[in-house]
Amino acid sequence: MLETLTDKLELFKTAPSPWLQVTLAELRLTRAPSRILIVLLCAVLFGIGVVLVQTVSSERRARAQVEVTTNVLMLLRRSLLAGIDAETGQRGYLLTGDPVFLEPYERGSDAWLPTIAALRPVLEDASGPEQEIALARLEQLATAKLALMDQTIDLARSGSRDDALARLAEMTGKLIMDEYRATTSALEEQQAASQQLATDQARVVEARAVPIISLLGGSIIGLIIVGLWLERRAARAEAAAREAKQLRQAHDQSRLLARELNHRVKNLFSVILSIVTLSGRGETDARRVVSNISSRIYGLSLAHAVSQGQSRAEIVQLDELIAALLKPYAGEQGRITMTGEAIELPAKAVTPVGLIIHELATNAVKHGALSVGCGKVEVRWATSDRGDGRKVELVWREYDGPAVTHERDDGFGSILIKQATLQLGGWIKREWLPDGAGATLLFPLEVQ
Amino acid sequence: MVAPNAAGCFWLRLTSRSVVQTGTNQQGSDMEGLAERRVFLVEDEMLLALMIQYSLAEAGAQTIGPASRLADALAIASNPEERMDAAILDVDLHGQNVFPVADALQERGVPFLFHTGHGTKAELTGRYTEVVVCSKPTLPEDLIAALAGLLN
Repeated sequence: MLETLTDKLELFKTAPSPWLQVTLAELRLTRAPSRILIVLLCAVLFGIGVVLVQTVSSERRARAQVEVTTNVLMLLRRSLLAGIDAETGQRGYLLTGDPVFLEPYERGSDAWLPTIAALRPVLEDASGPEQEIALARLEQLATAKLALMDQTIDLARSGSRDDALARLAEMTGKLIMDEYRATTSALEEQQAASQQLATDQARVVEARAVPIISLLGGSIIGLIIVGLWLERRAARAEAAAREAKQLRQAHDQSRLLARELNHRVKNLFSVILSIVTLSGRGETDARRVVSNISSRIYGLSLAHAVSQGQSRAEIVQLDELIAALLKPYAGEQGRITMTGEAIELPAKAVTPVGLIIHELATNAVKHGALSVGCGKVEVRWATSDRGDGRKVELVWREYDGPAVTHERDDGFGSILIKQATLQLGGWIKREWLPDGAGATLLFPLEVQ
Repeated sequence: MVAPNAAGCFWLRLTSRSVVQTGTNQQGSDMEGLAERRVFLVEDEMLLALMIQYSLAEAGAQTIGPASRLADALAIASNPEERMDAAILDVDLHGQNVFPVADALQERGVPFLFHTGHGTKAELTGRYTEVVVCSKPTLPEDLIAALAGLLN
């Protein structure tokens, strides 16, 4: 019966708890998704960064285009004004001959070509080949117009005002100026179109960026929620693993206790077997043998009952052990007195100490102080240490009993006491005095 | 592999190498053939030792020991002056293992059996092939029969 119990417990030991492994696997599983989560989060943040950079740069491009357009329009208008100034001055001078008209003429002619030249670097960055051509055409037209005006002014200065007016009537100058205006208008329109295009592009990019950023922002919130959920799951799995560990520890503890108990039971059965076998030796009266055996087994059961109520399985309180063994014989108050300090006995001392006390008590009941009404028993114990380890000294003394005779050494009771003392690794002195028996037991506390 | 015999002990046969030397003499008129035999007893439970001692005496054998401590048992086992025919070994001696004693006996060619309360048969047979293991508690007559089996 006990064998099978042990075997079953051994089986328990070798088979690992399967659900503990499941929990550990789950733990491993929860770690991989959190890594994926971090990678996803980084990707989303990178996407947001890309969209933002795109939006900002397209807006910057649109702003730069606006600047260029403003500059170009201003310079085109200024160059046209320079041409008109010069033409107005030329016509005034030719019509009136008043040199006061030469002032706007000079100012206009001086500013005209430099103003056109100033357009070149501005247009260079943001213009196509047709704008280059238009710019070259403007220079050509301005140069031709200036040459024409110079000619007429020179003619007027040299006195041929009529020739000069005739040249004016040829309409060449007007045609030049008409083309100049048309070219300027075309350039202005082109610039306005480029500006419109850049602004439109910026608007498109911006319009695209808003939903993308919202989407990515939403996915960040989603990832954070998933992360929190994973975190909670991991925490739960860890708690489960902790619980499993505690359960395993408790299981190990109970397995150890079961083994210890199993060993103790086997040992106790061996002792009982010995007592039964040995009690019958040299006895002829079957009833006495049975009575002796049952009394001793009863004593053992009392002793071992004490070890069951202990907070720690491996120790027993000496005072509780003695009280339990003497309880059946205590009778009226004050017959048996017990005094001594609190001593923790190792559990393996329970059987020998129990047997000795039980033998002394049954002797007292049969022939000693407890066999008469007025007899008393005093039990004292204390520990001492004379440098060779802590020892327990236990004194048993009977008073006011009948005179006792020396017990037979070969009686089993006597042998039992000797063997139990040997078991304790101790020493015993027994006395048979006129008013009762006495015994002094000395044994090391740590039975080796 | 494991077969209980009439004595309630287990004969464990694992390999052909035997540590059990068969006795040579069948002298004497006793049933078990233990008369005049010298049996070394190692046992830390003194009452049990006493019971086995009586049983041995009844079978006509002489007890060496009993030794209850490993050091004492080892001193007797490794003393060549101490003649012995067989041994009964308790495995756990106040928390110490009896194996050094078993090793010394094996070296001397003295047959022995284990008399133990621990469920360590597998451990014992792993160390000592074909050793006899008697589980505590064993009836004294069964123990004597197992011992006789060891000697004959």
